[in-house]
Amino acid sequence: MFDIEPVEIRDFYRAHDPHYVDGILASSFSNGFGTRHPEVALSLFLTSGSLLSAARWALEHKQIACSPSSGFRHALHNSSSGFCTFNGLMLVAAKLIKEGLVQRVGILDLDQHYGNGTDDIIKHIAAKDWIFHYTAGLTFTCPRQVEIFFLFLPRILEGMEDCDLILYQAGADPHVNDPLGGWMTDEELAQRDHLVFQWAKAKNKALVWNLAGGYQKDGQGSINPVLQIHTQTALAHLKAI
Amino acid sequence: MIDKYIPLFFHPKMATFVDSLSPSALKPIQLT
Repeated sequence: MFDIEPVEIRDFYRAHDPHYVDGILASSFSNGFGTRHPEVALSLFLTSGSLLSAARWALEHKQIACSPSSGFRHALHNSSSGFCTFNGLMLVAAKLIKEGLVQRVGILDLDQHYGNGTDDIIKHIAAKDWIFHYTAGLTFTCPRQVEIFFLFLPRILEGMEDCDLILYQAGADPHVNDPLGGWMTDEELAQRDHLVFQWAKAKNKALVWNLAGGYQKDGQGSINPVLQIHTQTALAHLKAI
Repeated sequence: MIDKYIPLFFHPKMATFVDSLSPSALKPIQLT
């Protein structure tokens, strides 16, 4: 494991309304879990920090890195949404743009659900010239679309060839058994990850993957089914390098 | 000998607990 550089408050301001940021950090506003627990507020410096640190490493080495983080993609400019409080994807992209380390960032969102928070922030901070955001949840939702998805995915990746950094949301909730998802099998999710990582490797792209959604539980109430999907993504990562 | 590894950027305090979830947070995401 590698050390994390926590983000700073001013980094949250890059993607969010300062009034909202201050309210979350003071536990005055509800976070993405619908609570005001201070420990959640403190964790936000580290979850986005994980993504930032992984992105710096990936850019330095032109390789693939993992940020085992989540809770970014539904966070709106001025409010939390769907387990997400601050949009680490957008604030990390904005920070790296500001530092001149990247000119263009691809957000490859292959979670089950629409990345509404990312789109909202792109609009608010006028980021469409330096962000390529693809969110599969707008288009792909049912098993009969799998074949089309695999024809379409290489075109999306081609569209990201001019991006210096790819932030890949490897959501586990498209799985057929997920209570909030349900259109891809284990094998199809593995193929998804394989395609993304093999492309990144072939193009020498800096890519960071993180966890995004996943809501399955087994008969004992554990989240092992979700962990198995994330493990499969990790194995696809290893296979590609 | 390890010849391949995943660069993983993790801190234990990144994790928060599912038990702390409010029931209102468990509603499905709006697909728009």
